[in-house]
Amino acid sequence: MVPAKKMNSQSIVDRLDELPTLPTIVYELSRVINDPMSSTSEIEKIMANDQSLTTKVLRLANSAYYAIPGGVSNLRRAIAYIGYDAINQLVLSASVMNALNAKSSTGFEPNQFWKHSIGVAMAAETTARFVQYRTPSDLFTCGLIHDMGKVALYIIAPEIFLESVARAKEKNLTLIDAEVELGNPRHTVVGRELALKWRLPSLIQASIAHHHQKDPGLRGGLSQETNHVVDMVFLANLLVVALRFGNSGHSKALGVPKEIVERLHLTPEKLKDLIDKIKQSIASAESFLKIIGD
Amino acid sequence: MSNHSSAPRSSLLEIIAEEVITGVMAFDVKSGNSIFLNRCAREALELGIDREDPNDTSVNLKDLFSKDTRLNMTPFSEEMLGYDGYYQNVVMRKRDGGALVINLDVKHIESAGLPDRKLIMFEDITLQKKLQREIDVKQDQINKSFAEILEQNRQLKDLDLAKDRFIALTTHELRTPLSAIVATAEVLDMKLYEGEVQRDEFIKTIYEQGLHLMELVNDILDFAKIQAGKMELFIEQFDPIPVLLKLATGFDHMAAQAKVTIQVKKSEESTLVYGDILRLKEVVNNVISNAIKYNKENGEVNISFGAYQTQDRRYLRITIADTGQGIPANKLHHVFNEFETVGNVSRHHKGTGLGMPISKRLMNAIGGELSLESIDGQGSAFFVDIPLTKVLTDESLYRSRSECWGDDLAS
Repeated sequence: MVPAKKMNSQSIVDRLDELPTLPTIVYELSRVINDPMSSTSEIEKIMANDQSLTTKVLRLANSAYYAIPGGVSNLRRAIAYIGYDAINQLVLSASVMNALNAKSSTGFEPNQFWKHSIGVAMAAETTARFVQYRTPSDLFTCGLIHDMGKVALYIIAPEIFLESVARAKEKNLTLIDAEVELGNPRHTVVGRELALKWRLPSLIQASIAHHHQKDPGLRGGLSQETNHVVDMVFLANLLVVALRFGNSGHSKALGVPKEIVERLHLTPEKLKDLIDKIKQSIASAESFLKIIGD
Repeated sequence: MSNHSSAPRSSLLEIIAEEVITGVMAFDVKSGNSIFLNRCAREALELGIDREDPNDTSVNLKDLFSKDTRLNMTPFSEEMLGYDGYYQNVVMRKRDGGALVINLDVKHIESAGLPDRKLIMFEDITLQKKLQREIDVKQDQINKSFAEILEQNRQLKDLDLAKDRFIALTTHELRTPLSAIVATAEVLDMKLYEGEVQRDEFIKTIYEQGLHLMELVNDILDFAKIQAGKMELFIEQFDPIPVLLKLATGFDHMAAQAKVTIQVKKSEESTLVYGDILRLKEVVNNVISNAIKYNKENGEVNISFGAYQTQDRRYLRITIADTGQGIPANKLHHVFNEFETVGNVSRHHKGTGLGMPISKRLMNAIGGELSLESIDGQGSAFFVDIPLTKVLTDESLYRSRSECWGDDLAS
């Protein structure tokens, strides 16, 4: 085991190869769904190759989060109710969670971590719907795996990660601040590298890399739309931590930066309204987590 | 002039060209290379996000040509560039091979002293197409759901009609004995009889018709109860063979009167089934009784026991075969259909006609089955299948009896 200080970001990035790759079905499905001229039968054909994934997607579609009246028993119906993109998000989310399987130990509790992550996923999608972003379902996976760098670090270099967690607890810092203070690899950077390796969409890459950066100018020249998405994930993350829903490695609740709220055109009343809606949506998070984590 | 960086220039027109929300592209005609791509065009074509070379934001016209000819879309091609004009539903190829759907405007630009250029302006309608697709899928689902509801509605209407018919039929049946009772009672009341013997006969008629009426009402109520799922069952595990053997011997007198012999093929094995003893006796009673009633003179009723199984269930099968007239194939399904049977009993046989429909439903209620085979002119065989395992979804129906009761009811 390499002593904590000897490892730097680059060696961590190299060791990302130790993590599993995503199943090809994720990429095939993504390609077909992004093709505006594809049909439901093409999707059914692809999904038929992985029966357990299909079953999981149907169970997720039938969860209280989507609240489809009468429920759905086949993909076609599920697509009709929740849309092509939502199906894509479900497949992506389930596959990433599956690849990032970790055991619990003192300092990191995967169940609590994923609970926080699902909370952010739902909060982000709810926020997107609230500000009338044109494809709210995009925000789901962005929110779900915004912190995946943490799990990656935990799996590859647990001592380093846990050192950061301990420092955050000790000095009541956010995890990112603790990582910076210790000079340890940052979970945003590690996560972004993994997202690149897994060829995840640019919106997701940006959300992972910049969900702690409130200044768009320092986000590396993203498009307007991408900045908008990152803002929403930033906000969702803050709110879910403040609501103490799950645990992402630290418990320091920060205030919401004014510029984020302004860019999203949220008055204090609207923000309150949004928080209520978020509380409602994360009520179904536990049951959702149980299905997706199976 | 070359613009491949994303930094906007200072002149107003240059800023406008860069920031306008339609895609704007200019190409050198001779080489096909891009000279200018505004922000919208770069983002739509997903240029400049490649990590290896973030500054690689140039593209050649050839790279954009597509061969996709699906669904009344026009692929972006060389021909299109030959004529200035507005084109709709055009598919352009992105760097990763994906499809960009656009409406575009092509303009050829000639300027003195400069090489010819092509100007392409487009609006990205990819999202629109995706949304249209979602709408189509939802519409399809709506149509399907509507058809399903219409069908369910039709079935409900049929059921409703069936209920009405049943009520009409049964009340009609009730009227017959009721009329007989009233008429006969009237005769007695008005003392229109002659002598004690006649009077006693009239009294007997009232009694018998009354009994028949009660039987009818009981059967109709039983039937309604089963249909409504409100029949009380006591399902337990027991050995049916001794019960049924004893039942069979009870028919000796009736069989003798009808000049029919009953043969019981004894089974050596002792089997345990799950059923309601009382109801099972009712069913077997009914079947044997019919087998005797509808038999030929000097005919036979053969009762045997065996095993029967379906894909996932096992049963004890009691076969009751008769040498009666049999039932023609096209009338077989009438046997258990209450509409066909009610009242279709000749005076000679009495009964209510509801025996078979009730028996079948009783068997189904305890998880078993009642079925028949028949050869017109030769006879019929009824099969009473009782489950060997617990098959009912409602676990609470299974009970167990305390010892002191057992023997009494099994006899």
